[in-house]
Amino acid sequence: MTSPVTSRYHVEATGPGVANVLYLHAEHGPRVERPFVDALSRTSVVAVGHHPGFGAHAVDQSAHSALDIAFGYLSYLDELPPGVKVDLVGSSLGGWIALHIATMYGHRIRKLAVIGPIGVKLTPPSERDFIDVFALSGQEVDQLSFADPAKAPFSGTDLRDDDILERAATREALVRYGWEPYLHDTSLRRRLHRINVPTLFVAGSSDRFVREGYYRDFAQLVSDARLCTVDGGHYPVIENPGGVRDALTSFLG
Amino acid sequence: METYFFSENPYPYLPAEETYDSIRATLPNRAFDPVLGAKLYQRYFDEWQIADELGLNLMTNEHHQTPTCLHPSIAISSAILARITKNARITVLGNPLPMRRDPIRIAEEMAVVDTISFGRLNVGFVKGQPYEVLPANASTIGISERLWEAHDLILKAWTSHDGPFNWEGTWHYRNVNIWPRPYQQPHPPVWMTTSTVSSMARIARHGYVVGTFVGGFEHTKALFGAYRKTYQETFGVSETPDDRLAYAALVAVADSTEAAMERLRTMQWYFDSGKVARHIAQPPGYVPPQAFLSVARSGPPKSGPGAARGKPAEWLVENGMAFAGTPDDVVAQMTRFYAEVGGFGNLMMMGQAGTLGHEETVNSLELYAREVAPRLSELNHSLVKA
Repeated sequence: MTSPVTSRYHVEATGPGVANVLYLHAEHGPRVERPFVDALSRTSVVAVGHHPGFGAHAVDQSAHSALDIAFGYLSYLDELPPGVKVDLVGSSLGGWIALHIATMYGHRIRKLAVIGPIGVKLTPPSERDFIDVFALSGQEVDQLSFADPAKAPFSGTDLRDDDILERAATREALVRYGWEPYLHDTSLRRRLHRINVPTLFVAGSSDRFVREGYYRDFAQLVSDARLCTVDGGHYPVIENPGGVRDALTSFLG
Repeated sequence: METYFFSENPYPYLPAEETYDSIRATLPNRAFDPVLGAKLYQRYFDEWQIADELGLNLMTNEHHQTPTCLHPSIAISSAILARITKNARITVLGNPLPMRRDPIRIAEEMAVVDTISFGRLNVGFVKGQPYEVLPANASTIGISERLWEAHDLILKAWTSHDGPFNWEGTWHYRNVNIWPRPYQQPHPPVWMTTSTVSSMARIARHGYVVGTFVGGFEHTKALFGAYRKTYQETFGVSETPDDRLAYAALVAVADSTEAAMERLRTMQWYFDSGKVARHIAQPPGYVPPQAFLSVARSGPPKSGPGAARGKPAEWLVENGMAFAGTPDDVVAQMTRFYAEVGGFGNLMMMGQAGTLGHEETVNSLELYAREVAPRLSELNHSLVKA
């Protein structure tokens, strides 16, 4: 039933030379976050990881979880020149994966920045940290996830065939990695104490995807972490790429 | 032709449809009156007993978090039927294997029901409808593989008689050793279901009975044709026995055509109450992305319950989704359907649905059992041991 996680996922660099940022996308896939990557790449060489199952990237049958995906990116970090460290940046699902990587590979990471990360459940069983995206209509999910729902990818009624296919594939991928436990795994919370690099949590000021106070509580579980806020909902990377870029620039230096 | 009386045993006394989003998964159970519900259960089990006494077989199913079907555990309902009926074969169609956490419990439950009934059980294994995904918290990823792995595990549990074995796959058991074992040896007949040609071959290769639901003429013909092709290739025969094929339709019989059509209109609640929110009806991963695109581009379904919603009763009869009328009418409709689809040996007769009352249900069953069923026996091509 299972096969080892040996593949190195598709990683696309925005410039020549060794990338100094590894960016891990959120659950809409990498295509819709391109403006953010372009903004970030004005000051950095950004390597963009493409998680299996998103966009044009085939499902990897060996990857069943955010942790499995994290292992895939360890192979990328192993292939960097000796001594080189990257700044690791991830949004939502990508933040979940990045946190896993940081618990294991601090020696390859200079700084960690997670924007609206998921992956840790902090509330009792009958309370929610996240809205249930599988139990709400698409419109409801967009309204709760974006300060301006008009900026939600794959929304509207006049979608092209490619958009419909990509939306279905990305939603299926989220089921693959986040169905149960829902958008978290119990191992990450137990390992957060291992993160030993400077960490920035970036929260959207209008994020209604997570419960109020979630990122305040989450950031307290990482030893050298601070929290900042930018305009936007749960995906400020999509809604406010410049704002996120500015927050990262001042943190990463 | 074997007939299986089938009802989902609904609780149809609901608030106005405009007041809720979905009859499945989210409708608050505040709308369920326990006293009225208790009376309904008594009445429905009476009807199963009457169908047994009339010489009909029985079929039951399971759904979750919905008033359309009061049986969230097919094991409980079939266990009661096993004890209160005498002669009917009891088809459970079916156990939604990928949606259930514990296949061994299903193997045990079905062995118990088979034994209590003195071997009258046909055990259905189904994938489960897409709107069952959320109630079961069942991931859609690998759902077909889980269906078949659970099937393999249950078959092994039923047929292993020399002490424990282990199973460490999707499910993990280190000590499988069920008691009792099934009454029927080596195991109860297996039924499965599908509504797609593409998933038919695997069912046919096992030679299992396949059940299809209200597909109408064209779609059912294609499904049964796909089954026959693989069955005949697999088993090296020139004809597929009718008893491998089952079809479910609404059936209403009365002394006059108009009275029967009026009964059918009452039963159309089964189709017309099918308001389900899209995100519940189409969970991601249940079908491939290409199928989502097809649904988005092709509009409403052309067969199956989705196509029947809101249609006139006459349309259902014309399209082979219902057989309704006098006994003569029903025999003629079924004979035509039988010929059009190339034959089938099991009718899953939805003889009660919606608010169709007890007296009308029983009258329809009596007319069917006495004046329709005997005249259908000549339809069968051939039989193999089920």
